[in-house]
Amino acid sequence: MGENQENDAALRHNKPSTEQEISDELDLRMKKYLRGEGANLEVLKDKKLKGQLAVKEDLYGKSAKAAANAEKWLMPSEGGYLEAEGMEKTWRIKQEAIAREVDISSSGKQYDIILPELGPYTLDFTSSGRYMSVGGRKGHLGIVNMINLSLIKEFQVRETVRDVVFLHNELFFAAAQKKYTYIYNREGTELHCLKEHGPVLRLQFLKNHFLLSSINKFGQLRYQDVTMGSMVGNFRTGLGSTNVMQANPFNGVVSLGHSGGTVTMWKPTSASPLVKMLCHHGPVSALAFHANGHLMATAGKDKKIKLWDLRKFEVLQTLPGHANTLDFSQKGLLACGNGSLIQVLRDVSGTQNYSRYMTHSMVKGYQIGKLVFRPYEDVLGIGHSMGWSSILIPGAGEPNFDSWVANPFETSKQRGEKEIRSLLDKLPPETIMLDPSKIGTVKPKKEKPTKQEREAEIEAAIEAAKGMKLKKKTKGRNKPGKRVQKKQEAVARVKRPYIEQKIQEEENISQKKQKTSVGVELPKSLQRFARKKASS
Amino acid sequence: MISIEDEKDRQNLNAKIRSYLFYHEKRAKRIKKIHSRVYHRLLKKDRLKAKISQIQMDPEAAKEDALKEERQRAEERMTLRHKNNNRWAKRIFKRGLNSQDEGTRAAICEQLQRHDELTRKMHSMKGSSSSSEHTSDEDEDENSAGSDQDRAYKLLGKAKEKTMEVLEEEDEVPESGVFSLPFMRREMEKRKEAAVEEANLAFQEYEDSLKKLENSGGLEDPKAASTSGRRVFGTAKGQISDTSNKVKSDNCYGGSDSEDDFGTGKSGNIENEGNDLLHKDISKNSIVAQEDTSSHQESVFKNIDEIVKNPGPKTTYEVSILVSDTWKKAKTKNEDRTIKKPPKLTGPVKQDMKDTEKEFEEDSDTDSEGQMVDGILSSVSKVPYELPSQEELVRQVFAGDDVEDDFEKNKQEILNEENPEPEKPLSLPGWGQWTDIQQKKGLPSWVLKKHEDAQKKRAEALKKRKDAQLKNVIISEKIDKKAEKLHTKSLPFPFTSKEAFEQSMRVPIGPEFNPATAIGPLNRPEVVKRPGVIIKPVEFKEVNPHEKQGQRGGDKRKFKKNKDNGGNPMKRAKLGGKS
Repeated sequence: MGENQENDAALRHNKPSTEQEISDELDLRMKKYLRGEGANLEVLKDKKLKGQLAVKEDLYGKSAKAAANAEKWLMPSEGGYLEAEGMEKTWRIKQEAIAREVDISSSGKQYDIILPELGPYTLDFTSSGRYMSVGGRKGHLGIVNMINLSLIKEFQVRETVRDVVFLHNELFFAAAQKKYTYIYNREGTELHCLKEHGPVLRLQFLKNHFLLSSINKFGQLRYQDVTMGSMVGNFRTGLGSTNVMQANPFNGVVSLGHSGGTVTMWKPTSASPLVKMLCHHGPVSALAFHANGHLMATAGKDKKIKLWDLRKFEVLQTLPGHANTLDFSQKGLLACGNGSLIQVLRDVSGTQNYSRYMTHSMVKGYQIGKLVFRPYEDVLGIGHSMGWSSILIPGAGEPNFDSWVANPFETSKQRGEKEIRSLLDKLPPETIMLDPSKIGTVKPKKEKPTKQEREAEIEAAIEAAKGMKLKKKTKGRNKPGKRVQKKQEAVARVKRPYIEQKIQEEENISQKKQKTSVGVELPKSLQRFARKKASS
Repeated sequence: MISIEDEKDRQNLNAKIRSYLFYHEKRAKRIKKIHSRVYHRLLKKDRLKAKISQIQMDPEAAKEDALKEERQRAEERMTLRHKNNNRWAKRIFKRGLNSQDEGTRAAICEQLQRHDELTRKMHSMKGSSSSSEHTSDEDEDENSAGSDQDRAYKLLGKAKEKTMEVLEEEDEVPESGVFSLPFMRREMEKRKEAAVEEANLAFQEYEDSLKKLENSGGLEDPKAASTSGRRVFGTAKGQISDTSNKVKSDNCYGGSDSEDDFGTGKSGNIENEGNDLLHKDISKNSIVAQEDTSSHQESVFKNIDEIVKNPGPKTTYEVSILVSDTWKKAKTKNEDRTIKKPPKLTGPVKQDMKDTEKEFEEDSDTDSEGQMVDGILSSVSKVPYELPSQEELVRQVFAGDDVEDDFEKNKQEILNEENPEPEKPLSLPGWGQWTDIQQKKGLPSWVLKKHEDAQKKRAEALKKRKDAQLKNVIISEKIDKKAEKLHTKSLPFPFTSKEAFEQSMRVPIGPEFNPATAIGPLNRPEVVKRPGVIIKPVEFKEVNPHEKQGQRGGDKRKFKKNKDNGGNPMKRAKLGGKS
């Protein structure tokens, strides 16, 4: 995916003029859809397979070309960004200056909503970015339609609200309240009370798996399937309670930041963390994932913000500064909030070297609680102690939306269709793994030494045995015949374990074969499809 | 009524006890029959060790042991069993000790020694264990108080000396440096005056308390002198000793350790004037109380009355001041200065737990503060910002100190769990230990070799791990059984290499990932029937599933070909040969 980004960057800069350039551009786009190189068919011995694969590769090529064309003609909007001229610095540009330049509809997206009474606010957007749910610490819950900025529903639960999160669409949202987590519908009707989760600090919803994950005060991580309601996973982290939690959008792995400076990554089917890494020398205060899943940003109380490559688990970049909250935009901008100051970092050169892009300071005294980029818009939502605000960050959102993925202009019928489709496509919880592209490949086995290696090993052992010096024994024991016999014995002794091993393996195989043949008697009508006895 | 079950239970229990006793008896007999001196010597040693450790472990055992010793001593003093007045000793002395052989003389010596040991005056159990004092009896309390008074004398003397020293020391004035500046000097003088005042006050206090001690000690001294060396068992004198003292000592116990500050404040800096006034009051009071020893209870009541009269805060001080003045001081001095050590740095995790807890508290605070009336908050509550204390700052600064070590330990643990270390070869008792030669040789070489191999294997496995090169990362290598079904068990048929297969799988063929024009050809089924063509259902036939391939279907041709080449017969022959 890193490559893709580079491609994108390259595409942005190239403005095609001649036919040659157009075809080059298409090639670049095609490369993205080919998803890597094909197999080297020359090496294959099986002619039939070779032919089949060649046909397949051809089809893949055609498909990629069609996709590239479609992308070119159907996704015309290009993401913009701030460009500085001469001495100008992008981070000196204020929101007011941006407001003067942009159109009315965009300038309407800059606003502060001051609600001083109900405490710090937390926000969440639906995947299309059309709806926003807000949760005030002191029990104020609401859903806002972001297109016309109309309040759909607002109500008071008269309890501490620690987090709000949308489920698969705007019809349902979950709120982590003082004692339990509740699920409400859009009208504010309480649908469920999730008592098993306990006093939850942070919620995350995994859209593809329909899992609601939560971390509670006691440091317990829970996964609940929201379709059937079954509790899929319940793990004790054993690292103290934390309110730093983020799901990786790429693979659904949930990460937690702990007070010991460690970040742990979890999946719902194992009780121990997949990865545990020491990221900071102080408590971890915030976490965020890039949409491609390879980049993670962590902030610690040790005054450092680090960017991690999750393929190698190495630090890419360490930046100084505190951050209470971090978020990546769809286009890879990183927003850090600390106190009443917001910093947005941007990967300028496409080499994952983030530098300052924009800054924004709230009114002094406003404590930023949560930063969330609005999907498909160049908007950053800010939840703070005095309400919520939104500012423009050019180049943050994805300019082209795919209505199969998320549609900001969805009708209710489309929404219904999509709900059903996504339910049908729901992924089982075990598909959450560090590298989901490994699904469907051959099961990783314990590596056995190859035949050649084994033979080489035996030979080496025999050589060693032969080279062994014999003691000079007295009298009759030192006869040449005896010496030869002794050497032979030594060689045999060395060989023995290998032979035994081989015999054992063969036995195992034969036993397995017997089992399969004895196995289950198929019903008569299906017997014709039974695997034939191996003829060779 | 006793139910049958109860009865049965009882019987069972009895039987169990009986059998246990029986076995115990048998065992004792068997052990007794063992003549080996070495064995018994070792046994004795073991027993002694166990006893000592037990005494150290729990106070109950120590108490019991002490009682036992007392009893032994009493018995010895009663019977004088070891004082050379048994027949054997008498006979030896009659003959003359000098005419005896070495062994006998040694035996006599030993006996005398034992007697000495048993009748030795007991100094122990006085101030030795401060913890046991809380639980010990009254007379012991009095006793210790008596001895503590002695100590208090010494201590007060010392304190006096110290204050004198301090007073004398402060005359020196630096000639140069910051302290020689005029305003600094003025300030210093001011301070000195204050210090002198304070020291004087402290002096007075010491004198007061000394007087008091003398007063109270007047009665007790002779007794204390007489009992200091020996232990007193159940004396009637204990009741005579003044109860005011007792009350005081009780108070001191009640006062507990929180008064450490006063104890450690040696030069009297801590006591301020208000306290001093109060202190005088109390000391007078106590003197009064000590004067009429005949009516202890009255004095106690008086004391209490006084306390009641005093305003609230003073009463709380009373105990502590007494403590600081009298013998409690000795206590704190005798004890290690652990109290003075700075508070230990707790681990980062703990600290942060605290932090988070605090947050939660804030939560609850805000909950309770914001009183809601009909869904509207009546008051806006703001959590006031509190400056973090010095300790907290220090903790935050050093929070990350041992994070790395902790993580390394954690990683080692996980590695050990996932790639367990091979068990160390242990010698089975009695195995290979028949002769000296065997013992010298140690473990057989093959055992050692096996162990070494296992270790090598482990090291290799550790090297192969994904996180072998990453110091601060632990990547779990546990296989998820549930996720296993998402992988193919083996390579599908025509493929021979894993790479080719995985590369052929790299492109998704679903409608979400491909343009509509490409989906059709990508997902075309192998057999395509034209629409409208009738597809006949499969006819049921008796089929032997294990029949050879050749006699059925489309494979016929292939088979024939093979036959022509003469391949199949060969194979068959091979098979036959194998089986």
